Amino acid sequence: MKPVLDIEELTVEYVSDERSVRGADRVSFHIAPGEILGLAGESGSGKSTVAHSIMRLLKDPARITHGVIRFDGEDVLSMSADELRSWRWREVAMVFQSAMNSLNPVMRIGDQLADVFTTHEGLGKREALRRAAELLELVRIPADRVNSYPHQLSGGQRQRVVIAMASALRPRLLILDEPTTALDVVVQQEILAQIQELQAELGFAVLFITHDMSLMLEMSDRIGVMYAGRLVELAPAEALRRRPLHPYTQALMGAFPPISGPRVKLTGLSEGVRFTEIGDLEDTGGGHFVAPTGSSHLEREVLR
Amino acid sequence: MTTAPTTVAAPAVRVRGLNKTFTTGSLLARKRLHVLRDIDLTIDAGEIVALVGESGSGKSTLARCLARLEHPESGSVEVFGEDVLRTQRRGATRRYRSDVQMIFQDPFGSLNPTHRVESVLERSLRLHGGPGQSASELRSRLVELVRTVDLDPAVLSAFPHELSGGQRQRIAIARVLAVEPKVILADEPTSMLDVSVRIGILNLLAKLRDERGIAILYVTHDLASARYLADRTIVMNAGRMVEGGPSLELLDDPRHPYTRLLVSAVPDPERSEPFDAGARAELRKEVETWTSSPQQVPTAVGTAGDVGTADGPTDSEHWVLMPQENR
Repeated sequence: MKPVLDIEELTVEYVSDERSVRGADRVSFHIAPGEILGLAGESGSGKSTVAHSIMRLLKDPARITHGVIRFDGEDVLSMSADELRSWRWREVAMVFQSAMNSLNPVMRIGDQLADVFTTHEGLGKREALRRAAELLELVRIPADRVNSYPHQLSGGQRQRVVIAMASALRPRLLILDEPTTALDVVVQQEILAQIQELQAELGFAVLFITHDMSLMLEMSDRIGVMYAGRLVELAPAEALRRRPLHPYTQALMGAFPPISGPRVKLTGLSEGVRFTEIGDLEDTGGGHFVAPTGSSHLEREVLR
Repeated sequence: MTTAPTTVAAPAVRVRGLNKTFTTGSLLARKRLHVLRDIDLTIDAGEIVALVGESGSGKSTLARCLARLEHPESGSVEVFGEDVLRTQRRGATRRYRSDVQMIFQDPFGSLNPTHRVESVLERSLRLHGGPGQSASELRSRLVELVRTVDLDPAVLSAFPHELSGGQRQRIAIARVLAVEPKVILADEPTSMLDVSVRIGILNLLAKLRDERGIAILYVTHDLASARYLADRTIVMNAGRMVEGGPSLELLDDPRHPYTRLLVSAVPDPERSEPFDAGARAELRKEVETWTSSPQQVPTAVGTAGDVGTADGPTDSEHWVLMPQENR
């Protein structure tokens, strides 16, 4: 099947007077229609940089210096501001970390949702409000909540509203950047179940970003692991769970104690260990790709 | 809960009947929020007890009461048999301050950015060890201290901003160790760190328990880490301790509907059954029924899986706070 999103050699540099830092370094992957692709990594690994590049939301001093992003065959990096405006939300929508706090506090929930329809679909006020109520029910919030203000909803409900808003125009790709990080574990699970349900119903593809490997393994079809701007491993979730190949992936997976099974000692990544000069992904069969581990240098330093 | 009569030394920490309320709202619409209700808790020397629950459950407030950063309305906190809330004696207060130390969530905010690591640690060593330590004595104690937290002595000449989050949290722990505490209160000590170094901090806490016999209260929202680290785990909900016991026993066989709700929500790649919204709603209803019951009684969970033995449970066995009518 033709991928909905295809990224080739994406390189993003954060440029300052003295030096430039690569936030993403020759990153390549694709997402098939209806697929959930997880992007894992720690803060600073470049996963949010990739997401913002796809949405063309990077701000100075970040610059895409190399690479291609294609959405449904169309070159995203050459779109004009006007093209972008209608393309965002309609084709690709994004839910940011703590997005629930970005709802307008002095506007009713229904009006905020209706805005999407009046702006993008040219609907009248009454029809837009009707669609807003439908949307709320889709994420299991009673339709009469259209009259509520954001502060009258719980954090979990607000995050559902944001997810409803993002899926309002039935985009083909939904980008979720740490969508549940600020939420308690019970609410987190409900939100994720909600996303899976919506995805089954509407059929969109998902780029799911998190640092929580257990969560990622449960949610995703395929997983890419980022480190220092590089993709170090890309594999089906099941293959990654059974046999992670890159030492960084292994450390990341060893960083999460399990909630069941025997209690075994874990080590995670030692303080001060760094990987440098990470090579391009190599195919190991079965859709499992890994950066060459023999030549990827492992540094052990006390400082820096 | 009643503690079985015992002849051994007093536990490191014994909390009895602790209650705490916060007042919120405006002058006219004042509301009293019961954030801690009838808290009983013991921690033995060389034991790690995890306090788990969601935000607002009261777990951090309890830790802050133990650190004397909050003052409870009623109840007692004893450290090695001495009631630290009532004492007026200066000596006892000073001893409490070095015996009980707290590690905070944010290793970025808790170290002075203008001081090198060695002067941060040296200050604690001097305050604790008193005058009359020679420069070479101090130096060797500094080196020993950073080695204890598994860092290279080269970090001593670094400034906090030159260290990673994990290294900073280790320095924060080293500073606490400089005063040779008997009890450490760790409030979400890894939640702001990069995931790959979190487990290292947990392993360090385990080492301090095993090698120095330090009693540790580990406050966390992460059930899996409590299961990994703590000897016993206590679950808090709306200011109450609702279930407690040896961590594996409790988390592998949770009895309180709230604990079952929490455990079932932890991501588990090994789990096969899908999310069931109906079962979830049932469980929530059950939580409501249990927690609104006027008579809730701590009840031992027997080894055969039965509940409701005649005597109240001891602190060290698996117990659950259940409605009288369910017993």
